[in-house]
Amino acid sequence: MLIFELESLRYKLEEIERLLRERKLIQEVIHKPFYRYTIFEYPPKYEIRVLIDEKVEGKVNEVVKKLEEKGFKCSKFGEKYYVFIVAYSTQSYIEIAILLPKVSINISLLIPNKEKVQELGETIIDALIS
Amino acid sequence: MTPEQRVLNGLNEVKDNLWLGDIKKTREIIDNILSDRELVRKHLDSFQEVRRSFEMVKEKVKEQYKKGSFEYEYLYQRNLRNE
Repeated sequence: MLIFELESLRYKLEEIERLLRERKLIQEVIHKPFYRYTIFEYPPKYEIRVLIDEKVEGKVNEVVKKLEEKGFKCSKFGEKYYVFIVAYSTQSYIEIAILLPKVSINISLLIPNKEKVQELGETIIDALIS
Repeated sequence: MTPEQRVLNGLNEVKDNLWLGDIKKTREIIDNILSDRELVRKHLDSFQEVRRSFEMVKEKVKEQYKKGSFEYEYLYQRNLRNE
């Protein structure tokens, strides 16, 4: 059953990929040395989904420290396996959900700007895996 | 690592990469699972076992009911319901 389902999923993925290519909606996956991420855009909201290498450990306190250095007010919830961080400034609001190897970063900006979102996302992840 | 563990790891990777939206990588992982010879051999073995059981049941039922007729299917289903 599993083999049939995987073959069917593979076929469906080929179809989806073809359709996305035709409509120019395909998401670019950005590769970095210890992680890969995709940015989903719904301006002024952006979602960054990050998949971190399994061998890399996360340092949540470093993320909070880095965000505070950048002028954000931060609140941290959760322990050990699942951590949720809320950070806000006058220009932006960020929600970070960390459940390694997955990290989901939701960013809302007063002035939508994909480059800024990408920069913020990379800063957060670099701090997490530093 | 046993074939079952390899499949389980592969499935977790498929799930993670689907979440990320990396279709290319997901397809690569699926291809890796499907190209696992040991897994495919196990799958074929279990498929043959089911086929053998089916043939055996078919032979036994043939003696009881008319071969390949609608009546046989109807009676067989009715018997199952009564059981």
